[in-house]
Amino acid sequence: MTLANKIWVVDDDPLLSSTLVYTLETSGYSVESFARADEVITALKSSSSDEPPQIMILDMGMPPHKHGPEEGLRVLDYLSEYQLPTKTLVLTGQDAEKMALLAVEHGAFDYLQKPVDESSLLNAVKRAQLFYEQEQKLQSQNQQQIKLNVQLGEGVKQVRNQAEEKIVRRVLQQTGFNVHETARQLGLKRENVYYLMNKYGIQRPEDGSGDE
Amino acid sequence: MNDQQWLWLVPIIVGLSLLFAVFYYRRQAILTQKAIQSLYDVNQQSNQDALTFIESAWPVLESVNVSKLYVEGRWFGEPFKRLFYNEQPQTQRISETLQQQDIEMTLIFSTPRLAKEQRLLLSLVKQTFVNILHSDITLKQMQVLMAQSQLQRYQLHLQHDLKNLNQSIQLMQRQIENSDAHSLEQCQKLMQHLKSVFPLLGKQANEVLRPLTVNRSGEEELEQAVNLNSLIKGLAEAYRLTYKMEADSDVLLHQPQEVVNEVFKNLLSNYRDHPQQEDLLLKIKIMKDEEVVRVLLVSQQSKGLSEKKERLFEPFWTTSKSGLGLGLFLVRESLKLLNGEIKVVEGEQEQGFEVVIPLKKS
Repeated sequence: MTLANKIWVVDDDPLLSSTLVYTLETSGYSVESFARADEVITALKSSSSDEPPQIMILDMGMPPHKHGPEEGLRVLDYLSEYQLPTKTLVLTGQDAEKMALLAVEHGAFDYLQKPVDESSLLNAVKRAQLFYEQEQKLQSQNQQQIKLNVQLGEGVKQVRNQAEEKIVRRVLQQTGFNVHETARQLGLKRENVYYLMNKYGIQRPEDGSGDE
Repeated sequence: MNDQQWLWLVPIIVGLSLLFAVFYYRRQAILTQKAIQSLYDVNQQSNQDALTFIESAWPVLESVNVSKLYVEGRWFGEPFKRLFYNEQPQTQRISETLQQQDIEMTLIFSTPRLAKEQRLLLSLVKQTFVNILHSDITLKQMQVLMAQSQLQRYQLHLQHDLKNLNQSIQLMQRQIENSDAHSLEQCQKLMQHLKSVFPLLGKQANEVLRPLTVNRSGEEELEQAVNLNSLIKGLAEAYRLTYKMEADSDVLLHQPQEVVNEVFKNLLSNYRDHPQQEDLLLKIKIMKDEEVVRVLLVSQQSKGLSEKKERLFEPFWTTSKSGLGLGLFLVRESLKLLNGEIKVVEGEQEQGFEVVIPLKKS
């Protein structure tokens, strides 16, 4: 099953999940639903490197932390760590301001406060899709966009390191951990890529994918 | 009388004086002990309520020569005063102040001029009174804070569930409104979708109401027997628990289905919401005899249940940051309606619960 061009709805509430899926499907989107953070992360790991979902609609509270943001943040952190191009729309219910800040801090593209009306939801999805497509175009022109969270006042070395790590992770993900191809795309030698992988603790996926 | 005869009198007088002094101090000590004990008794009778204690303790203070007690302060922001007095003179004053977040009190004790030993004994009783009052105030403040925290938690839970319900209903309403412009095929698809979600809507609404309906009579009509094996299996799968079930045969319970459902729903959702480890395997064993069914739920847990065993069934107590802390309490309350029981089971490697339910409602 290809996971490309899908919207993933991640919510443990079966009623809400079902309603969101129906709304999106009747608007012409291809939708997959998940109820737990573990399921999403497993699916992301097992999807081929260049086929993550375009858009994810993510509820922050899921079991076992139904009323806290821990599970949602796990998903956002995974997407951020591997620099996947998925645009995440976070659905917040409680303490919207705090949740929204957390979500954006952890790499969410947008947040919507429940209850969100259908037109706002679909507009948000369209907006996310637009950004996704433009970023894909840039990528086809060999340009990459990366997002950094930077603490000011601590010099610029950490900024350089963060940018370096993110771009290496992104390209490794895109090439399926093909070090040779990564080196070529980055304009580096293979040894440099190994050095950077070691420096930032980047490991090959457990399923053994990726090759020299 | 000559000098020698007078000399005999001296030890007698000294002895009598000493005896008198002993009796006097012994009596004072007994009175003080009685007064202190009375204060504790009065506090118990007042259910450790500070304001009631102040009013009820006045006779005890009066008995140790307090001629006036004036109390003023703020009780959760509301000013209050109390005045107790008798006709004795109010020559000397002692004041004490107590404060605990939302409660403040200033106490002024007035007494007549007293002998040194009387003053000492009075101060013992007064200090006991102040100490008891202080612990009552502290207790009250803690109870209020705990109740506030429980209410906040509950409100959070309700808000989350209600917002989800509201969101779903809004989207469905829009879908129905848009159906005028739909083709026949689209309308049929919408009908199919609504058929599948309306039962979920009802289920969700019940879930929201569930913590509000702890005390149920258990007097529902027994329309049909409950297949316990299917019920538990369905719930374990709905909660995506990794489990292994053992049962000799299907067990049919002639008990109110809703209550039985509540028991296992709360028990299994407890495993879902408090996984002690990532790869938890829940072993479920169902054993039936002539009159009762025993359901054993055990798992290997890295942290033993016995660390907090006595608190497991306490309402609003939870180790989860986001939990409500009502799950196991509701299990026990529901089992009472079935004349059943639950107990903690602890082995060397596995811990869990044993639920016992009579096969038939008595």
